[in-house]
Amino acid sequence: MRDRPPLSRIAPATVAAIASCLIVAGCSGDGAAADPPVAPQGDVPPSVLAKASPPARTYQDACATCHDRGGFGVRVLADRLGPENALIHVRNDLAPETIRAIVRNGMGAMPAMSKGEVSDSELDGIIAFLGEARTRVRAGENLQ
Amino acid sequence: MPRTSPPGIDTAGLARAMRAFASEIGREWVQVAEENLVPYRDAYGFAQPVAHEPAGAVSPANVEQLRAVLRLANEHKVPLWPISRGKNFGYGGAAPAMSGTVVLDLGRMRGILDVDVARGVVVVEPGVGFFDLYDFLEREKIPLWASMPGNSLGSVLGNALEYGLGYGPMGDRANSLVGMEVMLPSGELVRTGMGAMEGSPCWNLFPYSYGPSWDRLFMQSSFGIVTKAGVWLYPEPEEVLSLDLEVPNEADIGWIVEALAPLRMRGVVQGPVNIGNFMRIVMGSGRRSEWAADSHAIPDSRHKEIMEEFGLGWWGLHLTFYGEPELNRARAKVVTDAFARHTAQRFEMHSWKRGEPRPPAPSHGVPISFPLRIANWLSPNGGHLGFSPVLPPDRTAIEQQISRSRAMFRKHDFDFYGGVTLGERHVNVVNMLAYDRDDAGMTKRADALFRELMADAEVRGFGEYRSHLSYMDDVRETYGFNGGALHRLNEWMKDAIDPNGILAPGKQGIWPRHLRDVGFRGGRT
Repeated sequence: MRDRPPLSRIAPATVAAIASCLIVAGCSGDGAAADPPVAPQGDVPPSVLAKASPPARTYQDACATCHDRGGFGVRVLADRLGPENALIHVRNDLAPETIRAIVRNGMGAMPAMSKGEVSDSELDGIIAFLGEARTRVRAGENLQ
Repeated sequence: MPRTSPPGIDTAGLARAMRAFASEIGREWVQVAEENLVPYRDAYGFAQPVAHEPAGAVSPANVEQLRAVLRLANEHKVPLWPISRGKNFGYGGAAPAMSGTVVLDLGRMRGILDVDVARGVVVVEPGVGFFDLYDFLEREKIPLWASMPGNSLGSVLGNALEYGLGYGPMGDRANSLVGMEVMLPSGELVRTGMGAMEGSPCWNLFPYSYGPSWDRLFMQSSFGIVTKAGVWLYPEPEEVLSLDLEVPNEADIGWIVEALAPLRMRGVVQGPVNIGNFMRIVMGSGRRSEWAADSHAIPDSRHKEIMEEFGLGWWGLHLTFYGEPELNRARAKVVTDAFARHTAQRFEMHSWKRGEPRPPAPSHGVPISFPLRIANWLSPNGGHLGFSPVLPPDRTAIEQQISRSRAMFRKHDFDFYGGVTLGERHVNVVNMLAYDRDDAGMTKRADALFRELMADAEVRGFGEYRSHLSYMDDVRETYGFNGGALHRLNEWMKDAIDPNGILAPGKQGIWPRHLRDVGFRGGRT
């Protein structure tokens, strides 16, 4: 299981943000500062070997790419259901079977996701994560 | 039971093949049930007529399983349509060109296999997405940036193999792909470039080797399946300096290209330059109902009002310079001096410095998905289709292309989302059509507009460099030098390397011998 990055804060989807985020600097973001470049060590180039087998898909890398991180899904849901319903990890009205059906069949502009992209067991993990997130929201924790 | 079978194979034969796939890679990874094939349809294509229907899907986990799938496909003569992540939205997504093809979903092969930090190279499998790569580099604190596309949901390899263009110094992604591992239709595994040597440390460092270079033959191709490849990344710059300018008139695009082309050619401007019209922002805003109550194109008479509301010019130009601040400022001065000869307007300047939070922008190597909102412009069931011919970076040619494109969009009643991407010695003129995919009248008009754009460009020698599945045969036919000699060569190659015609029939208009007479337009939908 790969590490879960913190859920990012969603800025209001203003048109100005859309314009500037397309191509220019100046938007707020949550990118971490990186270390300076590593110089070659002697004759052997330094190499970082990643995990041999890819990590399981999680909410963060399968869903948050659109439904968080200022993504497409956040903005479409804000248009249709209001900003309070724009983030699916804080909503209480999505039953596990509803989530499963939307992921596998798509909805509106959201394309369906295949089992090759997100397996059934990975989808179970995502649904469990969303349930846990909702519980934390109900307990008063601010995940936004 | 599969609903659609490939030509020449009956339902029982296809079912036997699918069972054989399942016995090799596991039942869980072979899909034949109707409800499991929804993700392999074109989510943004025209709803009618129904086309590009998959017969099934197989998802191997690794090269060994892939080899087994190819062996069985040859044995059962079942055609396969390889996809990396299937997110090539606007071009067909995960769907196959020919109905009855089994989708070969490589999404499970998503290993980031190696990173050479000093040389700026990562070796990835096809299922690795831009978000995956970004998250990996951030998590491991590796100071390298990948070039990101406007819709970053796709595969790093898949995008490069389809000649994806984007932001930053490595924005010409096909040229950033160095050293491939490819499985041929026979199941044989080859490595290109220096990778053809045993144990070469230069596989992903030098783009050539000894003898012919095969890499390009595996791009937009049905000659083999790229199982991994090296991707060059850009060392995290000390600074990104951005210059922004909104210019007021449609015709301004001519002098902008004229001013920038020599600077791009000389390397003063690093990477492709993206210039877009105001409608690309407006159509991504989700606010159409504020401007129009019906589905007709917003009339030109309202454009000025809309631009003022959004604070945009007719064209928006955003240049970014990467590297040491002194070099960035020197490059910026060359650009501003060149522009001063055409306009009294001043660029707005922004800078990002190493150590600061990165803005969520592909120009800064950060993936995004929100530009897909264009699919929502006309309807919750919207779709989009791109036509992007290649032109010389010539002022008159660009001005006239934009003028003709606009006239054709007006004639067919579509809002014009336009852009120009400037390469080293060419431009791609982006014509983006957004439609309601369930509105049969509108999709018919979209088809007519696409065909008119294509025919208009062809007579001027301007060709499309990528296309939606439904137009692959048509675009292929526009490449007509010497009676289509290049296509004949492609067919010869197809027959030699894939004698059973199992890989991606119809890809880029290249059909295996036994399907050649029918093709997409011949009824193979």
